[in-house]
Amino acid sequence: MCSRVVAYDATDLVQLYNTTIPGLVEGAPVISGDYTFVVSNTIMSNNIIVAEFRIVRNTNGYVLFTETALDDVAYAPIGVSRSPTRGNYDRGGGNTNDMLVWGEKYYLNRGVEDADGVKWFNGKIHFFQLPTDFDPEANNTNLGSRSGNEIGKVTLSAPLLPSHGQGAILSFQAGQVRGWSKGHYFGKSPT
Amino acid sequence: MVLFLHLLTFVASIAMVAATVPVENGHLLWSRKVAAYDIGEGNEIIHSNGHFYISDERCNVHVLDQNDNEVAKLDGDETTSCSSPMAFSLDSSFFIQTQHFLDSETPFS
Repeated sequence: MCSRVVAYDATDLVQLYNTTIPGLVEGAPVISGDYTFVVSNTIMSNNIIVAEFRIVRNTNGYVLFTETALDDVAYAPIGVSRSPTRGNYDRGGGNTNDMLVWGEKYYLNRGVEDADGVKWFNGKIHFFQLPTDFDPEANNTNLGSRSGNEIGKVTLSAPLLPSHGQGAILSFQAGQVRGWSKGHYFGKSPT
Repeated sequence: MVLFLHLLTFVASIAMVAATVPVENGHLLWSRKVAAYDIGEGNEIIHSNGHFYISDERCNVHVLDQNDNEVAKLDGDETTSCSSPMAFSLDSSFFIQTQHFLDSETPFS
């Protein structure tokens, strides 16, 4: 399977761009100013999943950044906080660009059953914020998402982020909800 | 007997409230068959620019005004499927639809 991210003018429905993304795009892309953020999962022939995070430029649909997850994981849809007070991580102070957070999905090969028959997976959360000095024409070699600690949970949904962006609430398997409270960076396990 | 009187009073109060509620409230505004295909899981209805934007599972986009008139339609494709919500820009000037399709050139599914 492949995906297309297709942008339309909301008034006259004229197509603005049409960008092909390998694999299945998860959830709704997040539009943030001149850029759109997309996560996708591609199931390879050996059942390994390649999870990717991309930045698409809204002026032309050009994919200006692609990052492949280092581990065999599947990404869940992205949640966003618009113009947060800062980035909720070490050295995130002063950055008020939209804060993106997403978890990892369960998929069959990665699931483990505990003694009670409950499947679990030691997933992480991932987060991203455009740098304050981001220049789409530059090399941007230091661009990349960040990952938190293993939290032993997976999700299917985008997290809910408060407007200040200093926390997130995620729904996990087995009916669990976990949240990061204000003052607790995304790089650490939730309280 | 006391219980019956309480019940009678409760029913009467409900009837009073119902009688004083304007008839417009809670009534069906309009109903319309929009698409030939399912509008399924993930096909959230978006209200923006004074219109309702609805994507069906074959990626057709239907734009309705407040009075259920279809003011615009984008034709989808029999070979694509859409099961994710559309994303609108903050200024509502454009939106993004995610389409899935089989790629015969890809050696995996």
